Amino acid sequence: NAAAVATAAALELKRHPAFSSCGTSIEAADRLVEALRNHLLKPEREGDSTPLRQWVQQHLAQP
Amino acid sequence: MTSRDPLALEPLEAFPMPEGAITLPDAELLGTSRAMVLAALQQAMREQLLQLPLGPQSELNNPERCLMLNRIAVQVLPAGMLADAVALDPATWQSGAVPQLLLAALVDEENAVVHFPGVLTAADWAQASSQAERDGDGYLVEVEQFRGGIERLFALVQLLEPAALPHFRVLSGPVVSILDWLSGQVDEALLALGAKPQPIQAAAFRMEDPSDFADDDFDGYEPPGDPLALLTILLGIDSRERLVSGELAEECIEIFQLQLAPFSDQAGSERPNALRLILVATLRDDLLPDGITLRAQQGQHRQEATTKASSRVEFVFQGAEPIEVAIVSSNGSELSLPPLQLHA
Repeated sequence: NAAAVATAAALELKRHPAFSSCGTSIEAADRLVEALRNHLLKPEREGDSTPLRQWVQQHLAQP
Repeated sequence: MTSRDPLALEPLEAFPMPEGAITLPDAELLGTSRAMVLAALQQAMREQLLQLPLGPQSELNNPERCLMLNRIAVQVLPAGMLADAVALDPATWQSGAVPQLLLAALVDEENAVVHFPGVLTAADWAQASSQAERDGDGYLVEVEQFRGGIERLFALVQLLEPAALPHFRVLSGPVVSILDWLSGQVDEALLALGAKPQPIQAAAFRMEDPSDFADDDFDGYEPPGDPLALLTILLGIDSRERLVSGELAEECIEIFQLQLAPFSDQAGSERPNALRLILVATLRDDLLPDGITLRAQQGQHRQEATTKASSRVEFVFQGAEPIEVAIVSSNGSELSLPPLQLHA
């Protein structure tokens, strides 16, 4: 689900110095995961398919 | 004459399962509600391809013990699927087994379905505790206070270092409501220490000399409101250098007192939202004995000061979390108050 993907992405981002605070701050961790989840489900640009939907469609299209 | 139609259907009570609820196979093998919660947790981890260490293996089925999930202490708070609150009993917390996260788990035992509404951190609890209904020495916490579902649990235990999640506080005893003081009611635990309600004299609380303040960070703080009640506890150092209170303190040579004054920082309000703690000599121009430490903690906020040629030590606390106060003499003799709560 989107939250699990967002958490996995946050774990990768945590290695970057700009995102290191999400390992020591509950608020930062909550905000990062929520922001990633929202991006996966609700992109800002109108008309775009959500990234999560695109990935699922690409995966289903594979033989 | 009308008769009941034997073929008429009884109205069916039905309710939708919460989104994200987990249906367990082989429910007959699980038995207890706790076992179902553990099975649901492990099923959710399998479905998300997570391999997080879960323990302690010997205590997994002990409902009074915290789970250790990825080195973070999680306490499960179970209730029925239709419950709107879960029971929280801090008395079950023991040294070394105090949770860092509370996980609500709603269980439909008949249909083997488990729903995790979310988690509470210690900081979340600081906000929620003022709204939680008391249930004896414990609390009933509304399910809606838990947020994020099982996903938030997995996110927090994976992203955060264990040290980044503060443990919930283990209080020294049942919480005493400060609000009761306004109606002249004083808890037995405080009366046993010799606490006495006093007539309020606003003049006694004016800061006359900032240098009396033991805190080096004093910046000209002026109390924002007059006290709504006043409790004093007489303290003394006896011949054996022990810290005593009440009647025993009256027989001491070195006598001083602890004043507890709830007040409101909103003009005209009769509901206190702050508490002043004042350690002061009994005689107006007298000094406190040296080496007396006043220590108070509310959640993660801690204040401490030790007297040295001091006539007064003062702290102010605000907020709904219980306030724990202790006075320690120079030789380590300690006197603790029951946890005090403003219920702001």
